[in-house]
Amino acid sequence: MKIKKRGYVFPLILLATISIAFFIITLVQLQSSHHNQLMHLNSYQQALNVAYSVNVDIIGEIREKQWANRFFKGKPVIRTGQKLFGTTYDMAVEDHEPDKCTFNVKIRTTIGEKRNLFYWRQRYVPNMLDFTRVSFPVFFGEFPPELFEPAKKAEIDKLVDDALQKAADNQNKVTQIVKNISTKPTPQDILKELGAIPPGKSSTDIQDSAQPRPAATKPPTKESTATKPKTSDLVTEIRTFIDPLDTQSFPVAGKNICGSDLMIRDAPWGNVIGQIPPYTGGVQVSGLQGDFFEVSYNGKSGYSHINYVEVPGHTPSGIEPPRPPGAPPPL
Amino acid sequence: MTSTRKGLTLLELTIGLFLVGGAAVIYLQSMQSSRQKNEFYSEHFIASIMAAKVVEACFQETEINPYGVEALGLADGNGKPFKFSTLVTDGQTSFFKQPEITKDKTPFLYNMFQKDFMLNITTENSSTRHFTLNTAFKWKANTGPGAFHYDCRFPGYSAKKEVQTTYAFPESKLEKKVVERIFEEKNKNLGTIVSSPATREVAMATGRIYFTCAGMMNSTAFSSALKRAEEIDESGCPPTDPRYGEATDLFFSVARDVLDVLVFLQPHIETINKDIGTTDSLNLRNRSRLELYIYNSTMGLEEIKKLFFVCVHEAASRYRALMKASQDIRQQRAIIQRCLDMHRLMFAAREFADGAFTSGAADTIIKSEYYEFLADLEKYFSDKDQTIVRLAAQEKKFAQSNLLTKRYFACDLVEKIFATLATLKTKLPEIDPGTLDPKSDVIGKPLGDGTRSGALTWAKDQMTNGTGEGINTNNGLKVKDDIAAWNNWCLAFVSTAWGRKINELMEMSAITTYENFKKAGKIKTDKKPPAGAIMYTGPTGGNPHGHIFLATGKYNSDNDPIVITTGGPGLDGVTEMPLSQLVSWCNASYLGWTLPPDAK
Repeated sequence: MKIKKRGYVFPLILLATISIAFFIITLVQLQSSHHNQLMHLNSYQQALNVAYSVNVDIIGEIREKQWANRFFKGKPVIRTGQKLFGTTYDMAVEDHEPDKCTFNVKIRTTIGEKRNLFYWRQRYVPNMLDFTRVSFPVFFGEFPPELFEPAKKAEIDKLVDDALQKAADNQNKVTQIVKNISTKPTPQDILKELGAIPPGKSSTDIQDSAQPRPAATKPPTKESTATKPKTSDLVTEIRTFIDPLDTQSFPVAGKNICGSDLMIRDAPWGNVIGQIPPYTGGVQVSGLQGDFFEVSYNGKSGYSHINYVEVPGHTPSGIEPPRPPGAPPPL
Repeated sequence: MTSTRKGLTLLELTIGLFLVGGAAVIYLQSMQSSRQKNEFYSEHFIASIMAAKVVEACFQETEINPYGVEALGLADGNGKPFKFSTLVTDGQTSFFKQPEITKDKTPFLYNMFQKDFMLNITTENSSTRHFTLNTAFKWKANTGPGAFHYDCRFPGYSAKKEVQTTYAFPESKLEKKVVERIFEEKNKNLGTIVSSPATREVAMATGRIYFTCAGMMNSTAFSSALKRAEEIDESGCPPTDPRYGEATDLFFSVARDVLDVLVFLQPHIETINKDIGTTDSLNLRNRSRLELYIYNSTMGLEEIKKLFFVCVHEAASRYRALMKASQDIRQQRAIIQRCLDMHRLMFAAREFADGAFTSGAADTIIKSEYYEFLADLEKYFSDKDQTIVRLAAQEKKFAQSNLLTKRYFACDLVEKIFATLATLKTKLPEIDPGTLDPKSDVIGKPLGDGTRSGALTWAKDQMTNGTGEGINTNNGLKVKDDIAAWNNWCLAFVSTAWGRKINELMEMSAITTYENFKKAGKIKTDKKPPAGAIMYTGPTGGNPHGHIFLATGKYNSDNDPIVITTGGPGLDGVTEMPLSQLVSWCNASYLGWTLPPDAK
């Protein structure tokens, strides 16, 4: 008797082995991918946390030393191989436009093999009325880590400048888009306006897109109804105490506005050494001493009272000044 | 014979079963292991996201609130950090209140977080620059206990901020300016004029204040900002008009510049306040000059303070309206931060805001508007932004407990500046305005010459010891012939003293001339009239025309101005008397004074 074998076992073993191998490989890959994803997320968040923390410290340092004495004034400060929270980082901070109180901060973090470069352009707020605000970011972005190197400064600054310029160029367009969509009654209309419907889709494919948008609520905050003095009246009042004359530049041409001869004295409240005829111009005014202009007229140099001499930016009161206490009596 | 076997041998079956069983065991074990690892990764992943959310919440909080760490419950009222450990479900921590993790809304998350999933936050305030937050999650997974943490720094509240003002008078030029302008000298060191070091400091401080304020008030940028802001304000444009925002920013920039100047001047105000008494060491002329400048600087600052309150109140009020017009929450947050700073300053210094409002008590207005603003924020943002709700609640607590000056350096500083200014005002010397040189050429003349010294000299010449040659053209009489020549002719007397050259005095009644000056904004109501000034009392039942008279520029020991008046019922001739006596004689109220320029 001849038995014909069909060979079940070997293919079965082979098949089972291959299936199990593939299955295990798939599982391992899947777990590895989850692990990598988690590590990547954690390491990026860690890098961002470290960069943010370093930036907080930089702002704290500016605040302690104040803007005029900032630690990077006039020359960039670069610190490499620093450690924070177990992460290594390099930091560079430098003035951008000091007259506008702007400065750049570059922070490059290294976690394992992974490097990230974060860039802030910030503006220091030097006024006291915004006293809780030390600075605000003008720009924040992430760049290839090699751009941290000082030799690449121009390159990275240009990228930032271009991005800011682009944003400025687009500002009107953005404002117009916002204005246009603000009046659209449904999400569907907004998607149409923005051209944001994917190819092959229609706006009706998007759930509830034809439903009217809920009305926007507004904060109840409002203007004050309290009445205040006019600022121009206050300025007039201030000027009764603070004479605008003190910012006058000399020499200037002046004029006697007095209806009678104006005295030229040898010193403030000193002896009379000459006169300027009524309503006469061509008086050279070269300085201010006490309440008297230093004047020269017709070869005579001396002092005439500011109440009677008109110069650009100063309208004399024309009021006769009293002789101050302690001034020598007239001869 | 060939036999074809249809079944399996026992051996084959056994091998097959072993293989299938083995595969099943490997499969199940792999599945079990994979499930556990996936669960572990999933929980780790969620913990990581949740920790990132906590970090983000701290960022959001501290971005707008310098005491955000405290508002989040991570530090006490003194900034001392707490250790924080809690479950995250059912609103047990402020970080996961919006949206809340509840059994109904988020069952998967809820079940997961019920597994002893604890949020632990350790805060360190190792430096004034920052708080360091360690945000950790610990949990018990099937694969064993899990743990995850993030470290991050957030700004701490530093008490100081530098102020930059572009209006500071240059130090290099200050001494020369003080010597020339205040002390009327040239090419001298201040030390040769003022020997006392303390007085020199007072003189320099006075100069810094006076010339810095002058620089600000005369700056084109400053004046044009104020002018433009007022123009737009008067046009009444609504918050949706771009000009509204422009005016708001201009009012803000003026208030900002004024505040920066005030803060810059603060130590110098202190110096004067401390050493004002040392001016006694100067000679009369130098002392009176320095005292005049101290007086003008202080009173100028007093008015500048009012300008600050008006502008800062206007800006805050307008930003509130702009906030209502804006639908961008980022913009709203920026406005809130700015508005709060302005309200805080006003609130802290409200006691010194007299004159900032034309009606109502400044203190009440500032207080009620601040509380109203905070209540509006709490209500409106309750379902939108918890950072603002917490900030508003915290702020209310600060205000109610008078903690603003303790919490914010700027509030403390501004309150101190204004308090010092108020104290300094009480120490200001009486300013001797000096005397007019008498005009001998009007003595014995029928009328004055149109100058203030002429008016005063002529008026005195009509008194008992004078020539009495002045002629009342209404009745043709002179005092030398009839002591009552000017009785009941007060307007004619004053007009004649001024040489009948003042147009505003060419009227039939004294009160009409007062109205003329008042309409032109030339009436001052204080009781410090300079020599020759024209003064008024109001009409009475018996005298509907009011009364007009002249100031001598002198004062009695009660600081009552001495005036020269014509007679009337019960009083003959031209007489000198204190203002209070004249008011009593007229039985009328004092209206004020004006000083016209010398007639051309």
